[in-house]
Amino acid sequence: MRMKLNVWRQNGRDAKGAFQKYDCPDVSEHMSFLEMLDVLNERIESEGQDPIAFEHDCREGICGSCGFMINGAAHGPQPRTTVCQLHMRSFKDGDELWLEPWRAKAFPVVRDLVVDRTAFDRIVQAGGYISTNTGSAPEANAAPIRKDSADKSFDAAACIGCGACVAMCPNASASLFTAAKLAHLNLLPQGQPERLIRSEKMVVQMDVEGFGHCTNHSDCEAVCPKGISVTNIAMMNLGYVQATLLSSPREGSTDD
Amino acid sequence: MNFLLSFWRSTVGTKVVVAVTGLMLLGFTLFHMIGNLQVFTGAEDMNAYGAFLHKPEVLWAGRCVVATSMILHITGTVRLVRASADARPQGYAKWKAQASTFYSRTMKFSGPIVLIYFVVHLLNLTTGAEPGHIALHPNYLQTDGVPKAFENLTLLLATPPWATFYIVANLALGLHLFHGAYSLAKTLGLSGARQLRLARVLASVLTATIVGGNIAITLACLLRLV
Ligand code: SF4
Ligand code: FES
Repeated sequence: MRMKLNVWRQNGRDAKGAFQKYDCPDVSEHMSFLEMLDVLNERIESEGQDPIAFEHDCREGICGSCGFMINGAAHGPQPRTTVCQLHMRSFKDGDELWLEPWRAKAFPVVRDLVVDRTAFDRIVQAGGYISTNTGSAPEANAAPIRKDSADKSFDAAACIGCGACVAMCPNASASLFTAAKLAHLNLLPQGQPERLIRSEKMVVQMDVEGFGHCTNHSDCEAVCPKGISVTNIAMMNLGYVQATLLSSPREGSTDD
Repeated sequence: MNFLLSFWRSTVGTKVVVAVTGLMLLGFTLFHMIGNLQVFTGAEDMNAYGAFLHKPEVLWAGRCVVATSMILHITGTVRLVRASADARPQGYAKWKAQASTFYSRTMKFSGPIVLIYFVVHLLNLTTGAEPGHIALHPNYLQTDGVPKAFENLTLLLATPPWATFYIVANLALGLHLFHGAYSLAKTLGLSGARQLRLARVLASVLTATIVGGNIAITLACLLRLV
């Protein structure tokens, strides 16, 4: 099949970018989207030009490295699918596609389709951990956990940090990611001691990084390759309110 | 005090303030519509109700609550809309909605329309009874600072341009209320599937009731059924 691509090319963080057209005449429908770009890159390189930069690692849909916009949808048209797991059979012969990097102030473009997502790392560093000296691993069933909590926590823990939620959100909000990381720990007994301070710190960090706020559009949930639910965001809001307004003395804060 | 400030400064905190004040304003709109249904029971009922609302205690308590809610609701929203605009300095060449809706994406436009509606509504029916006596009204009637609510309302809405304005304004109000009511439930932390389904039904019912009631009143006056 033949594909017409318009790819965002940008030489560096502060460079001005623009779309460049590429014609891909012999694409196999069995190729993944990234394989199509690999083939295109070989051709570009053989012509002595810089290949299109895009991020990838596992190519199995589990690491969260890959991702860009395809025709205005994060990770492309297939629900619950990362771009590395998207296959060309999802498109029609002759389709024209527009490839753009995630766009958010907190995700500056590094080059072409690659953005810097270390803002996510700093949100996790702000509170996405538990502080305990665990010693050797405890017996697996020693701490009883309600089935529905375990299920919800497990669902939230499936977040791979790809950033599609931010990219798709009309407000460039990182609420879905942050809420997933919060829910994953806040629903488990191990996460209880630091639940409130974690809720407060991660929300604050999300703001510090310059992400927008959530207006409950749910575009994030629709493109999330792991199907993270927006109900986690409601839990995050509640956790933040409990942490800042309702808990006294305010645990872990400096003014008590 | 410190923690209140930092609460307001965080986007989640501001959102919660916008949601709570939105809920109060939703309550006010509902109450206001129900009160106005008395246009159907006649001039006497409605004017007595108007006179009750004009008791200074009731009047000023109501005004304080509504004004405070509106100021917080609007300043909070302006902050949030700005934060969103800052969060994506460069937009997409292509962007396709995946789940968001027309009414969810137009909140920042339906909001100002509702504000204009509110101001014009005051000029139509409230300020005529205040010391300045400014009224956008064909023939504003009042006795001793108490407006003749029934006559003023029916006369205003019997003029086609004003009736049209009120119908259009109410449709914008409907767009705003529907997303607002459902969204505020989530912002205030409702996360259970059953709770959310209930919130959605409630948001639809409330929106339909308020908008439907207001438009019914307008049409009744326009067609001179009351
Ligand atoms: S919530 Fe979903 S879309 Fe957002 S970073 Fe996690 S996996 Fe990606
Ligand atoms: S490359 Fe790992 S998720 Fe796509």
